[in-house]
Amino acid sequence: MDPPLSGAEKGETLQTHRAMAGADNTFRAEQVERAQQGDEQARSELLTALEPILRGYFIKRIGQEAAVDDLVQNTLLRIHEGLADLEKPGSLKAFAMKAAMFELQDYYRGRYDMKEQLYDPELERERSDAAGESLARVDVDRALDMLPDKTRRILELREYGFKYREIAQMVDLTEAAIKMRVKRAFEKLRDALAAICALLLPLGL
Amino acid sequence: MKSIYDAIIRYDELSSDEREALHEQLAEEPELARAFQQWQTVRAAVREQMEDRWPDRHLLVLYALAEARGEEILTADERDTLEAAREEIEQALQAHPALRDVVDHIQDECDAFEATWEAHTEGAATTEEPTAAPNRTPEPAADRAPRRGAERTPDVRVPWRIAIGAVVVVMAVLALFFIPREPDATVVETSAGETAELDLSEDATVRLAEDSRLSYVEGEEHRPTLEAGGAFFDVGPATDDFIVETPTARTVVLGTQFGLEADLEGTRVVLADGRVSVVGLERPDESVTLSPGEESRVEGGAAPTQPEPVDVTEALEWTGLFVFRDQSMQAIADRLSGRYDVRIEVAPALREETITGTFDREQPVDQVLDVLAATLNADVERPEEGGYRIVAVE
Repeated sequence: MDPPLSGAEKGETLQTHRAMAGADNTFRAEQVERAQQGDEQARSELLTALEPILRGYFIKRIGQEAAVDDLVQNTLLRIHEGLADLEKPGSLKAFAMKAAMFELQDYYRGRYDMKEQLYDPELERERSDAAGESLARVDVDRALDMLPDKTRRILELREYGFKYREIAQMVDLTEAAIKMRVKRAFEKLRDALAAICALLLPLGL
Repeated sequence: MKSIYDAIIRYDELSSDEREALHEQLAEEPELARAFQQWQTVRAAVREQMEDRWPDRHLLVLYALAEARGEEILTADERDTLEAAREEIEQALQAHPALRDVVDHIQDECDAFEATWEAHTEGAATTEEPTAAPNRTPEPAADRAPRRGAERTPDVRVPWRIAIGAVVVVMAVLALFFIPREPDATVVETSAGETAELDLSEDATVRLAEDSRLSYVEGEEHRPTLEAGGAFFDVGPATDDFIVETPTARTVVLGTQFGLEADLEGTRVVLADGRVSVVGLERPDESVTLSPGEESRVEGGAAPTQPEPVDVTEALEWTGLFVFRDQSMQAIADRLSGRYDVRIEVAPALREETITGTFDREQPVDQVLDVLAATLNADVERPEEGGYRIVAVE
């Protein structure tokens, strides 16, 4: 099975297959069926025709980022591996859409790697003191309960993997207002956690 | 004027240089550093809770698709999987409003996918190319329509636009970043010691001070956001619906010149000319209207302060411009004298004449004086002993 085309080959072949997709409707059910039945050329043409659609879509969603290449390739891989399970060959669009949605969700999850950010050597020293130990036992739910509902939503969406601009569209606020809420949440939690630690330390907890 | 808080809440998006700069700042503020570490710990805890309590992300995709398009869109296995998890998903949706936002967002993403698919398969060539925002470079100041020049108040307006356009010196711009940060969005960012000037439209120009950040969406250039720092806006009277947002305030503009300084704590608006309405983002029902020569401040969560008179020239010094409003020629001469370190005399008959105008501080002093003199129907003499003298034409 030929893998999807490499970057070096894409330019010339894509022009050909864009013309095919527009004129000959590469995504006809019979084309998909041939691909499912082992016709390698049909499969290759299918994946090649899907590539510019996926690329255009991901660029619209996340911008011109290096991650677009990975998203496209991973989605094509999902489609390639799952094509045999496609029950209705005429439903390629829905099949491709699901694959793209799964990849986007994985992308959002991986956007902010907290592991890197927590163990910064500059800040690690701060965690080793008593206040840092006490913090580990702080009830995060209770800390978040202090925040307005909308602010908590924003924090959760941020940790889900969305950018502030994306969150702004989702909760119908401006990006500037979003950032202001996050900044206030930082201050509120800072003050609350400082008070809790101040209580816990004298108690030897 | 970038706030350290801006870097803290944007930590995940910072470059390695920016993170290093933040860590250096935090090293000098141990309490803030501790707060930042606590914040990161809380964030990690939130993520962990979400991983534990929220449904699997792929399940959310299935749920969103089924909800929006019917279960026929799923395979038999997917339908079974979704059915087994439906109760858990719906309980989680009740408990976490953000989860509902995620489901809605997935549905929007599906709509966008269909639109992209339809555009490609119908052979619409114009939609096959990615639509990333093109980079924009600012026009050199000399090529740009000239800034509003000087006018003798109250009525006489000399057509200085053309004259000033011919003599404005190119800005000392050291580095600019035009970053298509999000689809169809552009960010202009300046570092320490840098300024930037760009045309948002034919009739609206913005001058960005050092350490500042302005963003706008392609097609919505009349709705920029000053995220941090300072900017001087020059908006023509023919422009309607020009609104600038900062982290704390919204300023509605009606053909004017004004300066904005903003960070996450607050916004300061200084009006040089025209009219603006200012409102706090958190209290949109309480607005103030500024007249020229007034300022208002908006602290986070508060309404704007009542307008107060301000020395516009001094208040807008940070813009790199001379902004004179109803200033006497003598006062202007004194300021220019201090700026250019040169003696400037004004004939007694002209000293109390008032002028309103805007000049670039990088302009040579004799060019500025020539413009001012023409406004007053005066001449600029250059005495042998040095300096300048503004005299009335006989």
